[in-house]
Amino acid sequence: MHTVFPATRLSVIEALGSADTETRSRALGVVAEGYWRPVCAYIAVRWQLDQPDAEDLTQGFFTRALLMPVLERYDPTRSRFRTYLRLCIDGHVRNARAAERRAKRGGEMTLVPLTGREPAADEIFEREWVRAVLADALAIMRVQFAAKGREIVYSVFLRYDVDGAELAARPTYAELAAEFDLPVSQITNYLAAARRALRLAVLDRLRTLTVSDEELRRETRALLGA
Amino acid sequence: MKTPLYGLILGGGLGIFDGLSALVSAPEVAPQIVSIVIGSTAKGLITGVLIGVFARKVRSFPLGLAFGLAVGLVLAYGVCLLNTSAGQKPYYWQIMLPGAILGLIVGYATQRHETMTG
Amino acid sequence: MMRLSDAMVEHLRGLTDWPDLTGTRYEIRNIIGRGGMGTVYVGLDHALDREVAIKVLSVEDHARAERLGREARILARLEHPGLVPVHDYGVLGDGRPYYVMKYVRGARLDEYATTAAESHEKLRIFLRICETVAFAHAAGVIHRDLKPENVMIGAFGEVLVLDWGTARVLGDPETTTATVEGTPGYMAPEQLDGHANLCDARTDIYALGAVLTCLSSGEHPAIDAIAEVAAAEHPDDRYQSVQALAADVARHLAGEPVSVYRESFTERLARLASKHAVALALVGAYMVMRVLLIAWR
Repeated sequence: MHTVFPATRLSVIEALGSADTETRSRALGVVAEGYWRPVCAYIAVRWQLDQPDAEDLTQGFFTRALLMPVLERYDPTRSRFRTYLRLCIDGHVRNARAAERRAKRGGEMTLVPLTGREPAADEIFEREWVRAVLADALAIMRVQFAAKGREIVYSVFLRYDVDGAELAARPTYAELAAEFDLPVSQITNYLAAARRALRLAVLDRLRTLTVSDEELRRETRALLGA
Repeated sequence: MKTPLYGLILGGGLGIFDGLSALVSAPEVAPQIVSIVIGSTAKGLITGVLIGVFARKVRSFPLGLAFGLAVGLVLAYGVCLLNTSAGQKPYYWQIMLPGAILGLIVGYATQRHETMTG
Repeated sequence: MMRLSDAMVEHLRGLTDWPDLTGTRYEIRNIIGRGGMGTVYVGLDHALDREVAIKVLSVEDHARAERLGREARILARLEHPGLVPVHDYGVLGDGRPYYVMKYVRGARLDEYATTAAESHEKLRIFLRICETVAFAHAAGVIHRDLKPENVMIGAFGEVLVLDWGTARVLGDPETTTATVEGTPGYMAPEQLDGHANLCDARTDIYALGAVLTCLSSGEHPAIDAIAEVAAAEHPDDRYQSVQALAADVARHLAGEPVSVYRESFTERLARLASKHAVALALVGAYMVMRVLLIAWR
């Protein structure tokens, strides 16, 4: 019987505040891995920067977070972690640009005002966060199915529910059965198993990035668009 | 109190009142006021019991009002014919109009009574 | 790391939450709505070929799973025209519990309250809500989350009280939790303070007062007075039973004075005139007719 509810484990967010340096660095690595793309996309849109500059600032942010107590100061009673993260990012970029201006000795760099037609930076951040969580979940699934010698399940799922989402017409179960040389009933079983694993992997990933059941519920609702 | 009895009492009472009001609307009939009141009361009693029985059988405000109106008009018309046959003025307006309205009042009151007690 | 397109993200998001009812007799068709505890879907019962509503826990944890099960058992036990009948209960392959109930087509009370429905019609609906809640109270069950969004007016005029997920069974320690449950604006002070052991039938009466305000606020001072007493700060100052609250509303509908509002002389005259409007109109017509006959003479 598979574990229905993901086992409680130390939240990465909680680990950021650990007294142990190694635990803190590992936790920061997980946060950086999970949030690198959303942070980069957010900086690019919010501050109207091109991709290389946004990547530099993102790298700078996480490097600084490793050296200084930035994310450790997060208080879950005051806001969601992602809200706090965005505030830290804004502060980091403002400071970086101010330092750049000083270095250029009065050279003017103007912030290009948003016209209002671009998707809000917050929406970009949320969208990229959802994308990152789902991508992480898929990676977890690939490893889990490979460990059980059931790569075929993941492959069927990838073909139908991931790659298939891009197609105008998703392949039918019969076509998949022919492609993978399996009975149609097996295709439906594999897809059902993979979808269950997807949900568990998503919740597992979210659980590592939240500090409480209530935050997990909120983040799950945010991810599912509820 | 059963609705036909309620209708009887109400119709009779209104009949007495309606009969006496002839002293105001047609003072020339004052010498016949006793017979007028007796006749009006009798008409009121019959009107009341008929409408009361109808309300007992048919619980509907619109139909109760329509029946009351019809009975009031018909019986009032009968009184007018009696007057004519007795060589008197029929007093159509003075008899049928109040008779119709009183029929409506008894129709409404008996329907309401039946709804509350039925 | 795989780069997911927007289309892939949207599809996977939907998949993550979509209940897998493989192996059951039910098939999910569409989402009806999401609540604090679960998502409600419209589905098809293949065995009986009828539409059903299926409530599935959104985010699992043991406490909430047990609560959903409790909600199903409470509803299944209480049979009343104002309660949605529960047909089935089960657990999905991914461990999420669900229960199946009658699919009710209609409008929520909060939507209905914004329509141009007559005041007396809204009050009659309120009385039906009171009947259902009184029935539950008689069975020892308190709702604890009464609000217009949790009342449905069905297609045939039936009035249903929904979402018993926060219900408390009096005397059952399992349903007496310390956590604050309910909806701000409809939660009694004892609920807001987290004193779950102090929540009783009067907690629901507070919420009913708030619902009455939502339905009929400002339409008549007597109704405002009833709502105010029902939603009194202290439970001892409220109506002590739903029947007492409903009786006062019924009196108002019948054109009678209510127990919690002292009418002025003119208000009393207006009420009596309104109650006997037809009779007064007929008598008035008779008087006018008499005057006209005198004038015509």
